[in-house]
Amino acid sequence: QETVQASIVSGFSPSVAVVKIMQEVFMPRTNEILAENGNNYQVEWQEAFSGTLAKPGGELEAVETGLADVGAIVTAIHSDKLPLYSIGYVTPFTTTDLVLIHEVMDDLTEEYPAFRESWEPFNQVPLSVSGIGDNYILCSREPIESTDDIDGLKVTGIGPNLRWVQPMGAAGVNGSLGDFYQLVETGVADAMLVWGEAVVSLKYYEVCSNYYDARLGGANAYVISVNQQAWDSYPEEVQQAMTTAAQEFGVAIGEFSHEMGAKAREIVKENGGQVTEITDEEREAWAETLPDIAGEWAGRLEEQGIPAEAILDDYMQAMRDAGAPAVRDWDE
Amino acid sequence: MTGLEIGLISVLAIVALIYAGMHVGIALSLVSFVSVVLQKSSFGLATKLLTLAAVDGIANQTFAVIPLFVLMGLIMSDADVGRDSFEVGDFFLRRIRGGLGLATIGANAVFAAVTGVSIASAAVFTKVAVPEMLRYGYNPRFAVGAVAGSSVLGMLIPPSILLIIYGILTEQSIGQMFFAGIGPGLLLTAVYCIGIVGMAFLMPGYVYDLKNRFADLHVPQDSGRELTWTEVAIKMVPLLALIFVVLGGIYGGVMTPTEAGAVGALGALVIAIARRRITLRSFWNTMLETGRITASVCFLIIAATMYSRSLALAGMPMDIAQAVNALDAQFGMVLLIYIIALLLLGTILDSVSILLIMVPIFLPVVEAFGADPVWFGILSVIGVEVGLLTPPLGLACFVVKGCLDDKRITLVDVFLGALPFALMMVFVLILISVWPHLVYINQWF
Amino acid sequence: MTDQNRDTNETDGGEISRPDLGPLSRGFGTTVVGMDILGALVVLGMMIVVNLDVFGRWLFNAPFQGTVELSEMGIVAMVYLQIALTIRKGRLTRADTLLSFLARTGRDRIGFVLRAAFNLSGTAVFAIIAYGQFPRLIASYNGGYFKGNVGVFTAPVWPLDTIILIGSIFASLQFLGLAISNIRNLTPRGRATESS
Ligand code: NA
Ligand code: NA
Repeated sequence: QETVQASIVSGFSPSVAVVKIMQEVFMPRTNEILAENGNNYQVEWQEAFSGTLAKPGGELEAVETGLADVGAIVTAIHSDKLPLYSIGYVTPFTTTDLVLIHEVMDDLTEEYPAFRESWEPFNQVPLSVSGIGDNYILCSREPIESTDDIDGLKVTGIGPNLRWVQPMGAAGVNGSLGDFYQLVETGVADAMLVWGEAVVSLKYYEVCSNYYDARLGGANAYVISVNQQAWDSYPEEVQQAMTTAAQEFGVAIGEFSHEMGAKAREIVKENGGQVTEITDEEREAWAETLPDIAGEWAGRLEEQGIPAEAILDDYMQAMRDAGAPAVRDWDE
Repeated sequence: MTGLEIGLISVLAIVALIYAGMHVGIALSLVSFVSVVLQKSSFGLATKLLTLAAVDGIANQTFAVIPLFVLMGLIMSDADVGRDSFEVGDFFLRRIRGGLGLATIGANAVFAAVTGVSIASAAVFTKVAVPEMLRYGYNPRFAVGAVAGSSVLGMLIPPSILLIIYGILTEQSIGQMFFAGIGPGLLLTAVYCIGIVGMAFLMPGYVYDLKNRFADLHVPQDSGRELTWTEVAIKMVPLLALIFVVLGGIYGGVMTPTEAGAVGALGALVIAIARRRITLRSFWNTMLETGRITASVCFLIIAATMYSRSLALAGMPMDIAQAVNALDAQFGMVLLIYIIALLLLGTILDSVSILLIMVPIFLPVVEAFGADPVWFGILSVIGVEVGLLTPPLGLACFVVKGCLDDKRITLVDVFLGALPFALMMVFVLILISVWPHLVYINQWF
Repeated sequence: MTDQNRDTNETDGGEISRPDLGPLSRGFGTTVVGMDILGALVVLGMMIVVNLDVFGRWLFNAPFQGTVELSEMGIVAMVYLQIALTIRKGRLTRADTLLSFLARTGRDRIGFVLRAAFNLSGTAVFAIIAYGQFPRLIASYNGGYFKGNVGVFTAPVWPLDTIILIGSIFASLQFLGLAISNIRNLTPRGRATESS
């Protein structure tokens, strides 16, 4: 049996879902799969989590330069470098099934070389697409009874999805997972655009006790990727095992998000908050007020010679085929 | 070589270079570079580690508060706001020995409710408090020490960037962490005050400038007559207004502590203009000065980031974790090892890096003993904050030195002056370790 | 507080004699001072932008989009714009106990050698950063990288990457200049001047 060294980086700590599920699924499953397939190799993981080697967002360059071998890249904050992966953020109101998003994105990666090619300048190989936000909701100080209440609210979000609420009359306050709590606690923002798992894990319900399920849907946010030179040095069995484990990670983190999202509603109620569901009519009306953000996105990519129109068509079609409750056909 | 060995050797190299007189930031970067070259036999990788830290080490809105609070402090001192408030402090506290020292501590505790970063406290109060203490005949070493020492309150009393980082790192409620910071913050304030009064009685030469060596520093005294209550009130107005704007803005839901620096700077500017204490020329010089202080401090943070990343690359955090687990020690022993490790790392790393490296290693260990993670967080924050005061890398002391106009007060003076305060912090650390419920102010009585 | 010490006094803290290399040296000096001024403008800009954001949000429910990105970039720009002058003015943090002890006890030559060695280390560190930064600048320029979010606020990254590159180059050269003056101080002719 041979040992393969691999360092693995994330700017987040094990209390954040992506690292937690990597430690529970991706890392051990790689070795379990290797053990099942002849036990010729084992990977010795060297963890560089919690921002010790790179900050959130810094993982891309850490893996590119070889400071780390494997990384959980937050594609959601690299809309300049990996614009193709913004697809989830330009197609809101589509699905709350993260496992579906993971599978559709991995299929698209197989079908369109543009996905892999977009990693070449960054000297790395993508293994599998995943996400954690299964369903963006509004977590607010005051209960939101209907979409009318969004008008005039100061809503904080991570940026690309601020565009979802601006047409409803909300003022966007740019924030990050790390400062949402404080922004709402100090009253700088009235509500945050987050998903259930974060409401539970980061205890946001303490400051914004009300949960407005706008069913905005989920988005892919991560890719597990490997430095090109490290990848080339791995035996094929190790490559295979890592790829399979990364796919299992995509499923596991999707299921985790779903489970915690359901729990979030209970916790909000237990803490005396109100859980409100958006009505189908309101959801449709909201979706219609949005500008054609998917079309804009595809147009920009087409100019660079990337077949984003076709990718968008396939993405939406796959969602509809899977029975996703998409209210707006972003490919139309 | 293991990560621990690399860590140990590099620490020794850094300490030696810094004491020999190499610029602190250069020593940290150079040792990081050499250590990566030796580990990975790659100049390319070492270059990239340095460059990436140089680019993203301070690329965060959190660090933007540094220039804003430095600016606020400089303008406040231009506008004589600090001088006035200390005349008022002297009016009330002149009968108590070490009165202005107490005023500095108290003012810093109040300011701590405004800022989340100790560097800001150090910058503001070096400009505001040190000249006044010198003016009233305090020992310069004590004056700078009191400012550096009390600046740590800025990150213990909420809001606090360190408590936020700990909360996120360990999934604790930030609100809960903030609440738990209040009691120990007040406790430390009280310990400082008792310590100062004690020093004023037992070693007056430490607190007061008995030999008047710095007499020529003193601005001529204001005729020596007592202020009237009306004058006291008038002198208080600008400071109270500033506190009202900033505190009211934060707790009234208008701005974040991060933004308070910019609004506070604007407020100080308005006061300075109203009092005709600022000209375009002096305002411009203040801007230039702000940038230079910021450059000097931020380069240290960048270099400390390089070094902590080189340690992570060597696998030091994992090696420590294994060593601790292999020890199979009792709870008290684990705690002792942890605190000593924090204090040692505190000599050459910045507070945030230490938290990032050590908390994920030790929290699971102490939680297995059933320890309260909130209590552990407060302990960690006080522990890493001692490092702000200890040489060779003590950021609070560097900021005090950087903001001083007087070249006769050396860096060594600042470190020596801060030493009693660092010891008092360790004392509080022991109190909180022994009586964990001290972190909850609602359980005090 | 007065301003007399802040800006004009170049004899602070072991100030320097810059090697007189004629127009080249003067051009270098002008650039460093110009960068320092730009840095101060960034400070001013940051104060204005954050206040616009706070008051816009509070009074008009209209936050200034891009504050986060601009402050993040501003703080980095400020550091690299002003680092060279900070080095020149002897304001980069160091413990000079040993060096001043050497100077006091007449061991000048050892002092100059140490200072020159430390300055050359500084030259090397900033040269390494500049060397690593150059390909990053090329990539961010060619790739059109930006901070922020399309449709909300975006700012290109290459100007900041340029500032980091130029700032490190000038910091490196500034250290080199200091090293040269310390080495000159080793020769009898150069003794007259102070050192850093
Ligand atoms: Na504080
Ligand atoms: Na220290």
